Amino acid sequence: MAYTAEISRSNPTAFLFLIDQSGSMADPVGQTKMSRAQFVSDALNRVVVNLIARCSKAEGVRNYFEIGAIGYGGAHVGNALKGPFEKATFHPISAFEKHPLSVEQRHQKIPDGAGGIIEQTIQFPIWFTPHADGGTPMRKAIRMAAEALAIWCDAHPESYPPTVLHVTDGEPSDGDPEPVAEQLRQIGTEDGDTLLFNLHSGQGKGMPLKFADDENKVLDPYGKSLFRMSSVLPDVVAQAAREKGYQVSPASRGFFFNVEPVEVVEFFDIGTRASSQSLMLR
Amino acid sequence: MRILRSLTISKEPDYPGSNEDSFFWTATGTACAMSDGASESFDSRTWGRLLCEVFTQTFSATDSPQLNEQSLQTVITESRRRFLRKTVQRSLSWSQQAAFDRGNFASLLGVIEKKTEVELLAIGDSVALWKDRSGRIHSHVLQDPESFKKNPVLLSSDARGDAVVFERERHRWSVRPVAKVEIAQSRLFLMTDALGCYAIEHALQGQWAEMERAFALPDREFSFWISKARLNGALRKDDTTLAIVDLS
Repeated sequence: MAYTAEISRSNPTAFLFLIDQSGSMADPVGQTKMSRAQFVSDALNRVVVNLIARCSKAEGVRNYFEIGAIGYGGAHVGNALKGPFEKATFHPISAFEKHPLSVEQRHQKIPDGAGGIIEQTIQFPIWFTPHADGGTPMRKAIRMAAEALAIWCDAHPESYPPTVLHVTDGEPSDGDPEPVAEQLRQIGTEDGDTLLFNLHSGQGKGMPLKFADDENKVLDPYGKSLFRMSSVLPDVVAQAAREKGYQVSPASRGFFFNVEPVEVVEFFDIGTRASSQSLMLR
Repeated sequence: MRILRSLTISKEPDYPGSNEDSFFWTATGTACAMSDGASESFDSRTWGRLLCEVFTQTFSATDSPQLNEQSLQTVITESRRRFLRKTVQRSLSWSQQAAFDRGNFASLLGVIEKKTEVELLAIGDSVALWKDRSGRIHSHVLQDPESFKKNPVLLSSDARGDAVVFERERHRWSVRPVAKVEIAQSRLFLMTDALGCYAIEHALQGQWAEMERAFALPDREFSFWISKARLNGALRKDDTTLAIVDLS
């Protein structure tokens, strides 16, 4: 049965974030002063913090996960991580714990337990910084991801398959990405094919969709293409989505369309739960 | 109460020190406890071990209290106090602090021997099994393989978790008294979830004898049996702990 391999230090799994960094990602979100790019980078940094926390033990961080990020925008398609992460696509989770680019002081509001709200300062590590420029070379980026994933899967044949979490706000400017996405999804391990989940934050035709299970429900032609590019949710991810209150059928795909940028947080959270049942959690 | 055997096998053979199961008893005591620490916790091994220690010490004492919600809360509170004392002595990195703040989680399976009965407390998915005089197998608190698929109720090192255990999920755990005369050969089998689920499956299929044969294997052969069952997918790859308690 696919997607059941235990995730261990001997057999880690991988998460690859594929991030649209085209010029339109600089657009502000609603009434906020924040750009889509800033929203996405915050969400990505937050999910890395959560993954590290899941692996942090009294004796240190256990390398259950390897993480990579590929960005694409304008003439640039390549590693979206800087510093010690520039030379390779995937890095063990412990490397992220050791080498944040910076640690910012951020403020968050939390309930004070007595009906009020208090503001507290938290440490917010940064690995990924926002960037927005030029066109949307999505096809080239997916091809680069596929090449990196093929190498990773060759080196980890028994692992839970990698999960690619793709965030975009527009249509590709370098041709049809569907064939390369199909190739990417055929790369895998003995436990199953690579999972490709797509989130589109923008203004396509039709209502916002989350975990759609039927192409006919997607009105936008480009949305239909993204739907076809998205993997059907394996049971463990479907369960995580249900726990978050989503209506998910056996045909539901890892596909968000026309959603607000804030939904990236949920998308990353559920997408990285891919492993929660098979990770050596219990 | 005599412990006839207890052994534990790590889910990651390359990292035997990472085993998060605990079993605790005292040679002169009348109580023992087993715990399975959740992997997604900063230090569930220490948390689980402290729960076992405090439970056993509390209910082995000559003036031990009745096992009820109040005395259990006292056990948990004392375990937390000891756990925090151990933790504050360390300096935590930002990631360890983040992991610590998520809470540490563990099951608790406790056994208290009384004159004519035993009391079994099971919070979470560690189980106690026994055969009655008619040969029927009983288990507490989980009783069928399906119930192991649900997220277990676990005790948290963070007091905010008590609302889940003592209110929202209160229906999922209990204390069960069992008359000693009802326990064949006076033997109680305690085990953490992977083995518990496997044993219950076998019992339901009328194959309990196979489990008894496995439980009687010498340690090395038993470890091999576990590895083989993990490899062929019959047994979930998880820390596995077995204890056999003699109540005669």
